[in-house]
Amino acid sequence: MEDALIARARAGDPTAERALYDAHVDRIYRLAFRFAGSDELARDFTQDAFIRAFSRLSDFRGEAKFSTWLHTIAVSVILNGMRKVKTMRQREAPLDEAMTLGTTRREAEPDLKQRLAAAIAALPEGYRTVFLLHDAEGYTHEEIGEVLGVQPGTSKAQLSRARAKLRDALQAFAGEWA
Amino acid sequence: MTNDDRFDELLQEAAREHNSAPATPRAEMWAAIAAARGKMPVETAPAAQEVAAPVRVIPLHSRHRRAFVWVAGLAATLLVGIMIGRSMTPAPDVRVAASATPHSAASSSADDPGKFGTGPLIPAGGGPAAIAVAPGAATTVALAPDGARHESRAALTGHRSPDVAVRATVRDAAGDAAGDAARDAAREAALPYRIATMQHLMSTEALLVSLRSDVRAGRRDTTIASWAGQLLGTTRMLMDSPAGRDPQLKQLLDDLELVLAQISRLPGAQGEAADLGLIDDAVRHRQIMTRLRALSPDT
Repeated sequence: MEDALIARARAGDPTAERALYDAHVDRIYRLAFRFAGSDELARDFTQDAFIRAFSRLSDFRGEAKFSTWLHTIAVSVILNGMRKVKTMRQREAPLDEAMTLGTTRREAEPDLKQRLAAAIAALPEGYRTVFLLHDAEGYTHEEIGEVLGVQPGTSKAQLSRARAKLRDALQAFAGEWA
Repeated sequence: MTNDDRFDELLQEAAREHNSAPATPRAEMWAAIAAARGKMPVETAPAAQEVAAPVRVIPLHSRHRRAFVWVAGLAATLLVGIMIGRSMTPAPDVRVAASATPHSAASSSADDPGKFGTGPLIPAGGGPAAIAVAPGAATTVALAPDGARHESRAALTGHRSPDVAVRATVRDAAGDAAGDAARDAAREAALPYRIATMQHLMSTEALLVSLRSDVRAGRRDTTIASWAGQLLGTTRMLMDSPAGRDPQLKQLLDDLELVLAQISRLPGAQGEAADLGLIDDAVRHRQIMTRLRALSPDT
């Protein structure tokens, strides 16, 4: 079914392109929003991902699933876009800063979710990517490996390190789950 | 269950709530995608609450001053590109390896204004240039150094100007090799234009994003008009370069010229609200941001 759509889209059938878009846009947009945290950025990344995918459809050989191929493009667009955004904003808080916050007095701190969001944002890009793909979006390590072009073992290791860093950054809340 | 396990559970739960997306704005995004790809959008049951609206602009906060360095570098790159393009041609003549029929030569890709991104490009202006076209038995046409581009086209199509000295020599086996060499030369000569164009588009995108961001934040930037003025100059240079032969790019450069001209004429610190509104309308209406990003280099 999807193969036929892809073939038609490759031949320039806009209806088939729209059908492919409809089938995948929700997940791509959700992924983009997860990384960007902003509707405008998420829209932009999603649009860019589909524009690139449709323009490169002739390169899709069917060796991987179409959704995997599309998500590879989307993740690339999102990560590059976020790098550009961060460079321009010059707002990226270093991880050390988030970790330092964990040692300050509890009363003056934001709640756990806010601190977690800050700690996730402060993770190194590789860790953050794997953490969000796995823990937030439910990708398997095999899927992450395909999308990022790494071994599943690398994905597992990065997730483990990401969690360890988050644990360190959120030590002040240890009592809540102990 | 250990503390680490509990923490991991808590973390996963929190992660699922982290930046949880709202409803997907399908119709709006599809309209933008279709516009960027130059196609009419195909409607398939968009959600009732979705209303097609202009493409939004990313609210980034760029550092404007850095852009001046970019613009200066961009202009220098473009000039160097033009110099290289002109200096790379072998002789004062325009050498054209063309198929035996003038008509097929005239309709070849090199003389065709399309496909800036893939086809060979030729330095613009009246200077010498190399044009490579059809394979097979070829005719070499040499034009006088002062023959302008339109004159060479006229010569190729058979409408030869009497003041253009044309000498034609039929080459058989050597035709293909000469054509390949000329194609390679043209491609090399085009590279600086492509790089300069992509850099220019990125820089212009930064300006537009920055302007929108400043307007939303109520900030004032006295330098944005002069920044736009510099980009406007580069835009016009590119419009006259081989980059301007790609129809899609040409249309975008035309629109950018209009918008940049408006911004460069902003009075005072950052202009009146009405001026900014007009600029914003132009950017939205022409979907400039989406088109800029569609033409940006692959990420």
